Amino acid sequence: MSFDWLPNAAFIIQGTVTTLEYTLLSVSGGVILGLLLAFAKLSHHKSIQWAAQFYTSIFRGTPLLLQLFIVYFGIPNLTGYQIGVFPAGVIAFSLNSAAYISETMRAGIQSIDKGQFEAAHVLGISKFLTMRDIILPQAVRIILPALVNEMISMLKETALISTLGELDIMKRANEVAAQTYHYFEPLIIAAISYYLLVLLLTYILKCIEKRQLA
Amino acid sequence: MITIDGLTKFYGDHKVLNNLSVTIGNQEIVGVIGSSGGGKSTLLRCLGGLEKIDQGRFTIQGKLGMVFQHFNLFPHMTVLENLTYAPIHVLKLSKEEAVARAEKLLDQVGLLPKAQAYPKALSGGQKQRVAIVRALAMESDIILFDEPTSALDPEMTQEVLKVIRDFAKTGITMLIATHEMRFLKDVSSRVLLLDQGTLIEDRPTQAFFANPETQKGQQFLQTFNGADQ
Repeated sequence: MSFDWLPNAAFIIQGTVTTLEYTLLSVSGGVILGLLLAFAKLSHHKSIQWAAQFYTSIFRGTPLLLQLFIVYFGIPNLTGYQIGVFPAGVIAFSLNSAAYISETMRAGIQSIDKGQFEAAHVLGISKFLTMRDIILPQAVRIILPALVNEMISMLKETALISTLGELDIMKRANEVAAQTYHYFEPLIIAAISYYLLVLLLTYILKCIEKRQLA
Repeated sequence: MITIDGLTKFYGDHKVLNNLSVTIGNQEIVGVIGSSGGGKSTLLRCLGGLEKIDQGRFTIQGKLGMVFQHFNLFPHMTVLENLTYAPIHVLKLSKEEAVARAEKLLDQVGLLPKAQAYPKALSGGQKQRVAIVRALAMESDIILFDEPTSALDPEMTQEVLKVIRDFAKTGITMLIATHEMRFLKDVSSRVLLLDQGTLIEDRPTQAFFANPETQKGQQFLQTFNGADQ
């Protein structure tokens, strides 16, 4: 049986949409939860600080695939409520991503000169406004490159969702392989698809860094 | 008016302010002097609410502003935004009013043409002048100056001192921690000499410069007279 390039390649490449959906939603979820965790890590309450550190430690210390299985198989088993593949994937990836992003954000916020907090304090600016309008806009410049790197990692890690049958790039390549008994070609097409997406993100990262140097 | 009563502050085991009591009246211009590490900055930072105090208390009647050694302008905002942010968000002024007031103040310190510039485009002296009017834009009637010229070269020091001098005539209460003795001699009515956290002299400026009461005061002045010649 010969390998029919065009339709098979088109079928696999369609998976980029699914892969990107998982990536963008998960990193967005990771940013929101990561920001909350970062504030928790900077909290004056030792117990809140500790809880956030513990969270990061757990999600960094166990395989993402295992976290995904716990969300998809484990929790429904416990609660009796079956969750769909898509929400399960986005939740698991967001939770995992938040652990890494919270560290980046904590470091970014802490890198802002103490004098900025002090000037805001003496001007009577509330803590909330100080964070939102004085500190975070400065921290974002420092955090942004690391966030794009996190997005690049996440993009590749979403391939794990193929284990639950989601038709992302990886799963589609596997299906073509199973149907045609050709493994090399579909896997290479998948590899090129991922690589081009990563190149695109890397290009965006370069643009951001260039703009910051200007 | 500032009333300080028995103010004491530790950094770990080290006592940086030792049972300090003093009252600063309205419209007084007071120099805070002493060798580095003597507690000048710590005193101002306590009054500014930036340090927790360990013993004693103080009350401030009036609106407090503070000017820092390293300016602490907000780098992602233009000069005008630096001046209008707090008046708009804290004093709840309308944007037009805040801008009008900021422009007037900028004009007074000769920086109106820089209103749209970002802090990184300014010299150190210009940054400090912006920081001073940022404090004034908040309708402050008391301003704490924490070594406002220590990070500046001599030329810029003079331009900043001139601005402080001009505003000193407008009835604002000032507490100025500095090593610029000639400036204090000229502008302040009273000096506080801190030595290792203890207030050892609290005198009218002319009297202090003519004849310090303590040996430490004499030594301190000699060091500066030596440096001036």
